[in-house]
Amino acid sequence: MKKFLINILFFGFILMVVFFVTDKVITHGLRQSNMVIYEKLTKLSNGVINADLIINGNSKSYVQLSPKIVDSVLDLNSYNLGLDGNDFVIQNMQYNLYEKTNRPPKIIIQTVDFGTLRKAEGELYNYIRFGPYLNNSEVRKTTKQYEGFSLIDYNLPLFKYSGQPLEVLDGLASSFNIHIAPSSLEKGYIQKNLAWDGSFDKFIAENKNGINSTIDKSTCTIFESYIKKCKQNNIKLFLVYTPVYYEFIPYDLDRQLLFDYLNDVSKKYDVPFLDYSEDELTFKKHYFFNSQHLNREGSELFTKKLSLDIKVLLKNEF
Amino acid sequence: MIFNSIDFAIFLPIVFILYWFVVNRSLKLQNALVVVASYVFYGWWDWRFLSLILFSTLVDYSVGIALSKQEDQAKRKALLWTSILVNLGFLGFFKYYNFFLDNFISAFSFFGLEIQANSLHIILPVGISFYTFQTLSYTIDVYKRKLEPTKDFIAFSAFVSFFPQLVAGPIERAKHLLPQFYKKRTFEYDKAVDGMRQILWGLFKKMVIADNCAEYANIIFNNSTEYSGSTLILGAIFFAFQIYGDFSGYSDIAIGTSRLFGFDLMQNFNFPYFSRDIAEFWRRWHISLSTWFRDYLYIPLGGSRGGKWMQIRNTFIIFIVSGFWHGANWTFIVWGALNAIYFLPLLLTKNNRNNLNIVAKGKMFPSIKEFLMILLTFSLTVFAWIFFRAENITHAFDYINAIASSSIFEIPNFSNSSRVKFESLITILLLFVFIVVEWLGRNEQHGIAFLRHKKSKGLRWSIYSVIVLAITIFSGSSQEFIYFQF
Repeated sequence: MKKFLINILFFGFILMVVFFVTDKVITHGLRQSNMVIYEKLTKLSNGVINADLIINGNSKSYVQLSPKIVDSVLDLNSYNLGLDGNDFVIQNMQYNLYEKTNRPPKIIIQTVDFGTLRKAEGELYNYIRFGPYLNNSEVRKTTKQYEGFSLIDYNLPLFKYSGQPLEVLDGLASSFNIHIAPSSLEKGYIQKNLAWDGSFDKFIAENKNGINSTIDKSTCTIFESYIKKCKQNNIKLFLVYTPVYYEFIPYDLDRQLLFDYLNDVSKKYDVPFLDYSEDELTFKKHYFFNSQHLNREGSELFTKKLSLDIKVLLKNEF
Repeated sequence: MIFNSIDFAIFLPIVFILYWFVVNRSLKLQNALVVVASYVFYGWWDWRFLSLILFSTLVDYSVGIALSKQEDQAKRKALLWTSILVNLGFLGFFKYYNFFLDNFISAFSFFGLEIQANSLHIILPVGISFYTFQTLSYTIDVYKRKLEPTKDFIAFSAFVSFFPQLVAGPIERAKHLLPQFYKKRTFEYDKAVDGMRQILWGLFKKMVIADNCAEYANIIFNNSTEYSGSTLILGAIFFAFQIYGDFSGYSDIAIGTSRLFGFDLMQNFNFPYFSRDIAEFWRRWHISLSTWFRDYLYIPLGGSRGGKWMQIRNTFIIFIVSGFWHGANWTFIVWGALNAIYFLPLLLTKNNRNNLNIVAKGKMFPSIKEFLMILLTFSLTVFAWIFFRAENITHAFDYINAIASSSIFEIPNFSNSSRVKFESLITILLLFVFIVVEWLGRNEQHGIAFLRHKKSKGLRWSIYSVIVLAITIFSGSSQEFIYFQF
């Protein structure tokens, strides 16, 4: 029995060492990764973005706002931090990480939609992208509010990469400066060269009476603190509601609540709220690939329009 | 509580320490600890159904005692039937009530008679089919005077509820397991180490092989109309490995855990996918259930002693009942019948006991003939699994029809996501490694038992570390053990 227990303990110790070393190598590698879900965090944490203009938000930013077009109109250096599938609590966390290692921007375009101010809970979309940064106290604290990482993932080495062979391979390869996935983002923006995919029909069939969205008080507090911080740091903030396909609007049952709140915030903090939900683009199906997102062609048109509008606002201000 | 959970990872060492360090001086206390641990283990899932296990234990214990005092044959028979009716009554109600009700309603409606009856929302108690059969084996053996009834209620309770094999077997015979509760257990180093090896291999089978295959099998079976024939074949193969990894993995963990406590459970799987014919497959697949049906159903029905028609009848009965044991769905019955059809030609031509030895024993590779026989048997098995996995009979036939199309020659493809493609390729690679390891270990009790012959501790520990790393990195999203639903 004694021999058995000693062997078990010794083997357990060796395993922990192996796990610890492997975790360190993979984490180091993933912090250099160019894979789509890691690239932004890689650049951000390595402090190589330093943009004049930051585009923040969820997929409404990520797939709809091209920094190259923004740059060409405003003559600035911009970068898109948009995180698909995530609410403002996560967007804010990522922005705070950005600020720690990069020069603060002069301008922020913050997109908002019905999911922005929801409560920080439930499934954390693509949670694994935060795996290499779990040693950061803010990342730990924020991600713990969601489903994704378990207690073991936070406390034992390597477990956070469990069931993620692609991450392990990419982490190992990237730690030796071998990138298995070439960068496919254009300053943080991803082109969606897609035609209308029909998912809206499925959405209608499943949500005949529309959908409710929530505005969570604690998320609003974080949102307003972010606005205040921008004001204090002289960062010009633009709140933007991007175009959605017009047939979706009747299904967004709490749309008015969100707009009332955003208009109040806009007045209270004196930040422009640019609403494109009734823009002419919203009636043109061929510019969308689903009810929520413009395709490449639509995105380019919209980015140009938004950039020109911002240019006018900036010009009028000075 | 499931084996591949944190709960069990905490539970097992606690019970182990209490068992060997706190109550080790008293056999009664050790058995009592096994009972308490088993009830905690089962109650973790749903404590309400502990009453079923307790009731079943009380009934069979009492019937056993009564049988020992009773010489009158009619009364003995009545006692036996009491046990059978109580045990099968629970099983019938919880598992088959809605099935029979729905089929009666359909049958009457076919003849134009509409019956108003509502299905009940019945929760199936986990493991009911397993512990029911285990306790029945006790009563039947006592009735047949093959086994002395026990007067030790704690030992009997421990036998019925023994946590490693309570919810998914192996279905132990009272003759084999019960006497182990009467004897003082001593800790055996080699046995415990091999138990740990078997647990490790069982976890690999479940978490890496079964759970990954399950993801793709589920995608393909749940959307079967969207895929090519070749993809559907791949789906059926994924399911074949899912069910094998899942169930034999569970058995390995159960047997390994038992060995840590000084118990020996019967081997439940003996590398069935290396079988050269269906008869051999059934000697190697879910052995504890197959032999249960052989001893308590097939032989009492006359076995293969009668004429040809009797052999055919008995073969169909045993396979169909075996199918029905798995669940209240016609798919399981057809799966059982299909296996009977596979088996019959071998039985009728007296070729059902041709392959009793280990395939390619002492050789690295099988002969071409053996390889082709293995491939054919595996193909037949995979075909039958389609019925087992399908939602209903129509789904199974649609699935098979879709396979039998020109799209069978296309390259399998079930996702456009490069991540899914990469991960499915990794799964196929892991399957290949798994098959190689199982092939190397086919002479032994489990896949990596052969490691005990390796003299270098460094090599053994390196292999264990690689397996643990593989489990950690490649584990699929956790799926419930398939056989829990049976």
